[in-house]
Amino acid sequence: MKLVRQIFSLSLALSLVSLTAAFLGKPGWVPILIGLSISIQWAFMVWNGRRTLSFSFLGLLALLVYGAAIYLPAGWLLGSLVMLLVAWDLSEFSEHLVRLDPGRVDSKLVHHHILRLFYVAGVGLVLGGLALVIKVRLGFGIAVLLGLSVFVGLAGAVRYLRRSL
Amino acid sequence: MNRIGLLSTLAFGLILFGLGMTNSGFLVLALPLVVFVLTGLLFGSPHPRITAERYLSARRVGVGLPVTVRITLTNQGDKLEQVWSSDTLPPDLEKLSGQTNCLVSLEPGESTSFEYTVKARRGTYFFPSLHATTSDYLGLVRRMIPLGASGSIAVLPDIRRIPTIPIRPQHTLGFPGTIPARIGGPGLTFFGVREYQVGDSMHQVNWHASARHPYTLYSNDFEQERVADIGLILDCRGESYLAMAQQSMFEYAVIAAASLAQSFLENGNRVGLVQYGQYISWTFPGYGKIQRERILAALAQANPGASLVDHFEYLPVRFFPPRSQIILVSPIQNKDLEVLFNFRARGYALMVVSPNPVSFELSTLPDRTSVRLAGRIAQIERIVLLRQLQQAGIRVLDWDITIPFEQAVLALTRGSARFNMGA
Repeated sequence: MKLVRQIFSLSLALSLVSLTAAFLGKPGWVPILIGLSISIQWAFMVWNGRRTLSFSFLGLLALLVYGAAIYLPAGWLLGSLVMLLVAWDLSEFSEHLVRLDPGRVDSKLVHHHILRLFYVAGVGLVLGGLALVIKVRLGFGIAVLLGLSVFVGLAGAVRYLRRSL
Repeated sequence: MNRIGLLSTLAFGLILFGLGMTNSGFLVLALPLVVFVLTGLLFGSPHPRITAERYLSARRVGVGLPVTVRITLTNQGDKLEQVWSSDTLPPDLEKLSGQTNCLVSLEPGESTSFEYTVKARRGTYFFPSLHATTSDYLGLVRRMIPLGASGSIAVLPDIRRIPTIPIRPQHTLGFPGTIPARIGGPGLTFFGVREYQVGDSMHQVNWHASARHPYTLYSNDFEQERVADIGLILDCRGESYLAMAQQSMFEYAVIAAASLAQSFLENGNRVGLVQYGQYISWTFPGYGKIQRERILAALAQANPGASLVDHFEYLPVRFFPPRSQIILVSPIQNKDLEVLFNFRARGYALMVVSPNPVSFELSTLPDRTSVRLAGRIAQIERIVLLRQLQQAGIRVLDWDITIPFEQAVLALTRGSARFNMGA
């Protein structure tokens, strides 16, 4: 349990550092202060075993999206997002472990979880990094096709969401 | 919110923004989310198959005795990376030790179990069906599976072993028992003298009577002892009982009813039970151990409740055979007297076992002069009430709940009711 919270705190701090690095100097300190306050509040809730309901995650993600919209350095934003995803996953996992009776936490399962999380975060980071390096020029037709496929995918995601809730 | 749904929505939203605004930054941000989503779809078990078994160390226990509940989950399908299952404890069940949930990985065919120990007050407790939630390690695709394995525990009332209570109903049944039947025949108690009949034993001949009547022999006749119909009525009207300091007087009434049922059934009588309160619950009369179980199961579920009627007017008298024995377990209120007199007038042999509410209340109050004085006044009022019953030919056991029930019953076996003047 403690290990999970420690890694959560570390990843959240790294995410905040990346976010700060991305925002540093450009639109002022306001987004950084917002990110800092959300992070502190999130960390406090996780360490006290309270439910976070993904609002902190969504708040920080909104800052990243804003950063992308104003063309901040995508490398820092990518790093911040990956660390944010790790923190989000661990905060939910920590909530799950809190619901378990004391002494029932299977350390093997925790290690498997963390290992899987690192693999996925690593792959995401590498793919994102490759996307930053590789430049592809899209024609109008391909962009429309991709847009349509995204629409179909979005509709599928919403359908899945409605079915599973 | 489902995690994979949230991530999918965010990922597609970012891609859409990126394409719409021709901003590659959005597309880069979408990629880690897409990796998470694909991981969930890749490792989420599509058709998890789990069976569950619930083992209870006892299904019927006495008050306060511990019961161990063990739940075993077995994976009948492919590997399950993460299985979460939690057992919901019925309210009023107190957990003493152990775990009520588990979070494990299960290989194909592997089993896991968790157990806990509980204890409870009198009552019947139902464990709801179990559910398990399976997911990948990251918990992205979660599936909830109903597992069944519900169960129940009956916590039976405390039963005291009481001495046999002598009763004399006008009507008895045909089988031999311990209750005087007011009919001559084989027995132990002297019943009368009659003319000698062929087959009478020489020991039965009454030589003194025969000597006074030449040429005629007389034999002693004995009173037959048979079993009888006994109707137990448990007053379940909430207004009749006090509940103070997390103790309810109703529990004492249930103890009395259970002990009486056990005693009369052990003597071979036919016993039925009526619970009269929020509703009328009837346990049909019967004999033996099975009937004992039925009555105890009914008493385990008995609860005082707000009655639709505030006195015994609607008590179903026809449930009881005419002139049989009725035993009412109730603290008794003034307004009940008339109905009880009517019972008596119909020929029923009536006995009232009455847990004393005054001594119950006094046992929870501080020992002060004013309290003692109030207690004495209340006791006198109660004695007057119970005397009215006795004057109508109703036997009364006024049970001071500070003494054990078996000790209080001794007063009845001596043939007199017990009255206590309180502190």
